[in-house]
Amino acid sequence: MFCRNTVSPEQVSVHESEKSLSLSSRGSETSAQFLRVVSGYPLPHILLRNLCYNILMFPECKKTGLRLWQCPPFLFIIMGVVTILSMVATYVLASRRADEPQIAALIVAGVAAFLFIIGNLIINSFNRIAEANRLKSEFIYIISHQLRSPLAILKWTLDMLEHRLNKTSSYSLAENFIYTLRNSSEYLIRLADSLFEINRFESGSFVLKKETMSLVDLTREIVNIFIKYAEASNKKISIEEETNFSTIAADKARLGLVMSNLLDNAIRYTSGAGDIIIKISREGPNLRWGIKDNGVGINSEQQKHIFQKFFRSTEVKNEQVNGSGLGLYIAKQIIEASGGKINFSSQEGQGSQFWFTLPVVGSDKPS
Amino acid sequence: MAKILFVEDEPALQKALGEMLAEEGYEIVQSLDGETALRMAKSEKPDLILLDLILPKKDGFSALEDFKKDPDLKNIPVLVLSNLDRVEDIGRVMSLGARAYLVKTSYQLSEVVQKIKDVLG
Repeated sequence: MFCRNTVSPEQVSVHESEKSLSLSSRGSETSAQFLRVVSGYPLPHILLRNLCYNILMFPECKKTGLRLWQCPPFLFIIMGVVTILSMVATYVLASRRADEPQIAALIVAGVAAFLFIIGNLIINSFNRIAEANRLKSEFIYIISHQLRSPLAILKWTLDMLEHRLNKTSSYSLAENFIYTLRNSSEYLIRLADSLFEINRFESGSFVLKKETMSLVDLTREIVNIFIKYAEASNKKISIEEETNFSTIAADKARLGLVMSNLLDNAIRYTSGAGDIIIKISREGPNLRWGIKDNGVGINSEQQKHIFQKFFRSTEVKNEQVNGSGLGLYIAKQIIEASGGKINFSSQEGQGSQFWFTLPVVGSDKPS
Repeated sequence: MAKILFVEDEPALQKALGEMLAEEGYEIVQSLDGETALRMAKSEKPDLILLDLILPKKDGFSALEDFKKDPDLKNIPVLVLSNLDRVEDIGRVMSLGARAYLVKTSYQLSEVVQKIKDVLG
């Protein structure tokens, strides 16, 4: 690689990068030389370096999740085309006043240089955004990994502590403390897991492990896990199955996570007694999974933010101070990556309805 | 009595899992980095290797490659225990021939012990 893929490609030699000169026009070369003569600044070297660097950045755009119109190398090509076209146009116009050809050349050179410089400035700022985005993902990855090491120690040492104390009479004294420690550490572990998951969405390395499964069966499994918690919080959960056929192809663990998030929210954000109804029905080629609660609801102004990362509505914050605000964001990513749609409706003080649809496997079968 | 080589640089984890396994009747041999892992595997000939990935001196990936290249060691089952869970890492480890990949924070000690029992039969 003659252009190193680092932020400071100073070692690019002008000789090797002449291969990429074809993209820049003769005119800008003349103008560059003109400017160098004037300012003594090694402009061509810098320009060629940027050219090399920008072209090689193309696959980086996909990695950092930039769209084509945000991608610096693509923009650079567009800029090059614009530069050439405007130069040709200026030349044509200037040659109409053919008495002093030097003036024409100067105008052409000036415009070309101007556009090229502006272009480079814009592209550099885009490069900075792309780099910041990539650093952010890397930062999240490093932090979540750093969190996991001590969390693993905490988890296993706690397991060992419980194991040892179980055989002694001191267990009952320690039981509550162990329970508290475990809850806190599991919360942190889930948070680190969520951060890893989000990083996966953002860097495009998110892979679904699809298997054929029954939506109804998974629902029953998840409800089973939450049933004690629901009872303890005085909530009743009921499942209404309005279709016999609920086979889908989905990542079971992740879909289970989505259902857990939605069910957890329904239980958690209803104060006092509550009824939670999960309805599974057929809607054309899709299955619709809906959950309805009569809880605190979501303020209409805040509704548009509900699926955003780290967002927690005021009603929810009043109910419970802790919560990462990541659950619905992750749920949306998973459902959309699985080929479905997720949405909700809510009335402040009355409750919320969340639902998602997923395509049925073998959707020509009757419901 | 089966012998297990536990390659892990964090002493607290060596202690927690090591003692749990010793209680189950296994003989535990400890290694704290990737270099000694290979030496100990050759000299101790364990029945199972538990391998962390982030290790000083030589990482778990290289150590795993070395195990699988050595004719004396390549048939010893390797269970990878790690904090990383990127698809690339898991894929790389499994294609190098590891028997399983466990993310430490997703498993309780008792579940890890059960997995080990399953592998050793």
